[in-house]
Amino acid sequence: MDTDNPKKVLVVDDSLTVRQQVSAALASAGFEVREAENGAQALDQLRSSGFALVICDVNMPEMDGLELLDALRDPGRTASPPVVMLTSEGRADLIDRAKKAGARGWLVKPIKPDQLVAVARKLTGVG
Amino acid sequence: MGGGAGVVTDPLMRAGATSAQILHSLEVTTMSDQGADTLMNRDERTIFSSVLLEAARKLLASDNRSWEIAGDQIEPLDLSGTLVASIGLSNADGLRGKLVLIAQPEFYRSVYPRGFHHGELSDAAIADWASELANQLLGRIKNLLSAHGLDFSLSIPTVIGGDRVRLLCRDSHSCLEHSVRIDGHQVDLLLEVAHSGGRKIISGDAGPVAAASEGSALLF
Repeated sequence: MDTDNPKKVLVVDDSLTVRQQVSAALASAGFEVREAENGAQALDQLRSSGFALVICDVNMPEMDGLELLDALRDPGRTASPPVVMLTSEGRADLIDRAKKAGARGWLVKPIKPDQLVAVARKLTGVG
Repeated sequence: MGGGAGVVTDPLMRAGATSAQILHSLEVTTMSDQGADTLMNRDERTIFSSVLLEAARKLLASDNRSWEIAGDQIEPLDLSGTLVASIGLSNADGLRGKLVLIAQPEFYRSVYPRGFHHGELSDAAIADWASELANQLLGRIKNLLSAHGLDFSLSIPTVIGGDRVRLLCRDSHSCLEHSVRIDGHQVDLLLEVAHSGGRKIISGDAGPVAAASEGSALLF
């Protein structure tokens, strides 16, 4: 990865522990990481440009992950970065709903750090 | 918020005699006020019990931790510094319930993800991890129950800490209890499930609900 211009990732989860875990894994792989506690905070942060990827929980207060996906599809918004869901949910119909709403992936917790990094590299085009 | 109920504080605590920290107030009544609930029958209790223990063992006793089932009844707790994590479940068909995970902070510290923290973990970090564990445990239970055609949504977890906490279950027929020891730490598990629609909880008519397993990474 270009260390002068690392890819920026937004991690969205209401659990501090999960945010720290994911951020640590991505930071050690050279990504620049920002955090949000729910979909509403994520939406605020995504108004600024420069994010290459969003990794997002599903069940969160205020605005959940699926609601965030729907909000990002608003025609009035500029193109959003790819969104990958990271959740303890594994139901096929939820996965299908997320896919139709524009999600690029679905990771079921607990996910190994190297798997997470591999997904992040693939979706951000990092070798 | 779903997932509350069945947890009350000791009278001494209400009188302010201890330094209990209530992080969230819980409703006490959940089930029987809603009309004729269908409670777990014997076969369903067997299935739910098996699923609860399997999910808990795989999540909480991974990394070669020792696992011992101490009993199928939770004694009235009087442990100092107990952390109780509660998370609800429900679906549009009238299924309701909750999972409650009870242990001392030392247990949650012992299973905190390795390699992600240096130094002393704060009380807030431990409480957050307890809520995440409850979330992941109910997620695993949900995935296991999908094979029986059962599907439900998870609520946002709640964590309560207190010096003297007593767990009460409103209706024992709707509750499953297990007490386990993981690397010597006592961990109590309660799963409460009932159906308000007057139907069997696991009907046997529905086919398995497809679900991705833990650790899956799907790219579209």
